[in-house]
Amino acid sequence: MPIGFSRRKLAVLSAVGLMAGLAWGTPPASAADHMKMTFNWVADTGYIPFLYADQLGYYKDAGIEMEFEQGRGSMVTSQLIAQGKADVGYADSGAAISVASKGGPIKIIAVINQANSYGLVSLADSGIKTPQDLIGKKIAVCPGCAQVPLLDAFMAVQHLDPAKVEIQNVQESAFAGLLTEKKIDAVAQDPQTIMVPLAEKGVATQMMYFRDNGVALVSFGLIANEEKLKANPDLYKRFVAASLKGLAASMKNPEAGVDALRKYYPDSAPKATALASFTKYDIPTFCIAGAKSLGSPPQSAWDMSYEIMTKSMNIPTDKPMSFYYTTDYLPADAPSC
Amino acid sequence: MVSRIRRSSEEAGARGVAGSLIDVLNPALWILAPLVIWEIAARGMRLPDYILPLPSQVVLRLVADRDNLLLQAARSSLLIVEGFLVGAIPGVAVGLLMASARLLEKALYPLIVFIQTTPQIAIAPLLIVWFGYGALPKVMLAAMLTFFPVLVDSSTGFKSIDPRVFYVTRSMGASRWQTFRRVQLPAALPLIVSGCKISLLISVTVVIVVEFLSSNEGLGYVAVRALSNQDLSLMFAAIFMAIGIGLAFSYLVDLGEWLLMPWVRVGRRGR
Amino acid sequence: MSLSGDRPTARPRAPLLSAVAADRLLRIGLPTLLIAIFLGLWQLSDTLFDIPVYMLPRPSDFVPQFWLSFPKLWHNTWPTALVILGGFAIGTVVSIPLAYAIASSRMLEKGLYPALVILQIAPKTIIAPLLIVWFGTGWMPQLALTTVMTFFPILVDSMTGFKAVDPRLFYIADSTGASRFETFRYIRLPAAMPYIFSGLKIGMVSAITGVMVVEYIASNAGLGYLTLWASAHLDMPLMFAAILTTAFLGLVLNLVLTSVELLLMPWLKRDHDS
Repeated sequence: MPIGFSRRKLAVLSAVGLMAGLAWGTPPASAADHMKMTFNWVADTGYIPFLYADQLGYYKDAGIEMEFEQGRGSMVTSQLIAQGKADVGYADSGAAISVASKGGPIKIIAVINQANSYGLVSLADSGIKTPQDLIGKKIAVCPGCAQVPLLDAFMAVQHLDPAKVEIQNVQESAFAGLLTEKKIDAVAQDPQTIMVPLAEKGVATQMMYFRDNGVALVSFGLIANEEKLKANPDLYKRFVAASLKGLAASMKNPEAGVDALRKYYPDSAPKATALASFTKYDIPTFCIAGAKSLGSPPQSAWDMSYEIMTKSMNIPTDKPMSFYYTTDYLPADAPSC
Repeated sequence: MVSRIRRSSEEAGARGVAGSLIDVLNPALWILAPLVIWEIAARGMRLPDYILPLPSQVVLRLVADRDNLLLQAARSSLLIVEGFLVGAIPGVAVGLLMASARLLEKALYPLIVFIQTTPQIAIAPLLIVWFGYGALPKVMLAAMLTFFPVLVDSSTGFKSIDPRVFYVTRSMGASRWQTFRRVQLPAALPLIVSGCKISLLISVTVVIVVEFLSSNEGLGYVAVRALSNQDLSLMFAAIFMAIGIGLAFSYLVDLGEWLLMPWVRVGRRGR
Repeated sequence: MSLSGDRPTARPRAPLLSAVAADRLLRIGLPTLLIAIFLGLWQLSDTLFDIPVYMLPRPSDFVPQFWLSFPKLWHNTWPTALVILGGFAIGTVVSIPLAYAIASSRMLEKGLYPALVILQIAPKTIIAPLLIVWFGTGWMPQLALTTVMTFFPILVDSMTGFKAVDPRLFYIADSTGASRFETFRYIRLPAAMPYIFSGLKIGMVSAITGVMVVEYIASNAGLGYLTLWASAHLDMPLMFAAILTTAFLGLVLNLVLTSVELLLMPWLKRDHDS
């Protein structure tokens, strides 16, 4: 599908901007490029690096005027990017790769969360310490959710016989009640959604990360349409650079980052909740062991992700992992880990 | 005969102030009873508010946040009405078409059922990617689901007309429009209105659920935001507000029925 | 000597197909043709409507799944079909007498009906998960939820049917000394039948959409569950095969319903031309 008007407009504006910039030797302050960014979900802590970068003026300094849009699902966001309906997307790598493997012209240009935070949450006093403790227990997972193939992969890697573990498919809004009423022993969920709110209500929980138990998948990243990338590579380089700067800044000053989130989206989570989520669960994923810098996970992470995706997530093996991502848009001076 | 006359005069006597009071108390009691049971049960079980809030908490929240809720309610209402109209008007039209030609009905109806029972999970993402996160996908989805009940009821309604009536209209030289307006439509009206009652309520549910799953405004959005913040009181407040709108629409349709079909008011009660 | 020659008066030629056979051919052939055209357009949607394959898989992608994954599809059709039929049956049995009661009593209509409207509008997709804690995820809550989602259309249309009886018929009933039950059985019920069946047709479709919602909330088997499972594993062909199987199931159930309708109300067979 042709990208349409916006692409030409973008190209013209960027050309003007580039020439002006070349003439003055500094990024243009006027004639800024406009970029629309669609996220994977409604406003949550995942937005913090970008909103903070915007608030600190990093995008403005790079000559970019940002427009943020809330999303509803990484799959839809990936499809929107593939259709050229937005300039850049923040989505789960698995969903993006799935769309790309079917012909969607998208590439992952940076990885923000180098490991995903999914795992099995159980009550602190449940006695579930190792994967083997799950035998004979009941686990809840939401039907159709991203955790489903992860749980499959986890059980395969840990040699857990599916017949010995009872898996219940229930909507995630039931998880809190089921866990606290002890109708279920563990839920497959990310910590922000369930651990933080329950902790606030005085219920102690513990987490068994998939990534610590053999299923480390590269998680959320920035995705862009191939044609748009070809049309204006410099714009995307500037965008990624500014975003990673914002990411580093939010790691140094998480509270200011949360304030930015609440300023842009007042009806997002309350400050204390967001701060707890961000510091405990988001920040550890920005840099994992072996990563050289923000935005670029180590090769081992890509390899493992590819293996799991091809085995459990129906990603075809006809293209290598390197087909789906690119490091071309990462700045040379990306903040180190 | 005698018993029926006595009953209707009893009913006539029950009108007046007392009658109107009963008219309000009657539904109020039916509605409040489950809420009271909920309140007592929840208090008794000492339910934490992240499992199920108390109705009293919800009502307090409803009042406290009424400005925002009313604003979002207005947005949702607009979509509900739009979805309903976009679905219902073609529903009546196609219903008329299907009632006129047996062949068409045999051919089209199974196809329509086939499309209707295709779960919306498949269609919703498509609509979003084509039309964005705005109003259009919601209206279209609501329209798709409101189309069917109105279609079926209109079709049955139009089919129920005794064909001999058309000999009369033809011999009197009535035009097609006149026949429709003065004979077909009034005859089919009870069923069309019935279909509209069903469809309007479907539109309410569909819009709220779609907003919940994929929108950035409206009562459904308020609900999903509240849920992700574990703020169940607000979530239920939004739902109560949505139910209120639905009830209001239901009464509106009843009013419309009363106005459009005066002949139904008389002689309804029988054995 | 006749003008047409020596031949004796020609016998009317026997029709190629009997009326019944022709009717059956049309009833099954035409919709099949239309569905085939629908699928054909879908197959060409990439070129015709500019819908890329990664957004909407084509029939050639998922039709093979019908025999590749036949065991899965077959195995999951039954739980779904059972819940649909169960919910529909209970919904019918509950709503028709209830409709009669409401149609006969002004108090009930003004009092109970609004409460039923509330039950209908309350978004179950949002509320039901919270109630899973007590109701669990077994077939009983599934059945109950489906029933709740099915009964309203049947109720409303039946109410309209019971209210729409020509009052003069009651004079006849009175003058022949009919009992209350006889009046109901021979006058009210048959008169309301077309309306009730209209409601049943809508109710059937509501039952199917209802079961999909129910399986989305909590399920371990069924076509809705299979759809979601396939979606989670990013297996679009299987997902669409499951979706279409659901649609076919709906078609089959609807066919059964219309057949029953014709059985109980044979007078509907005549054509209506305006």
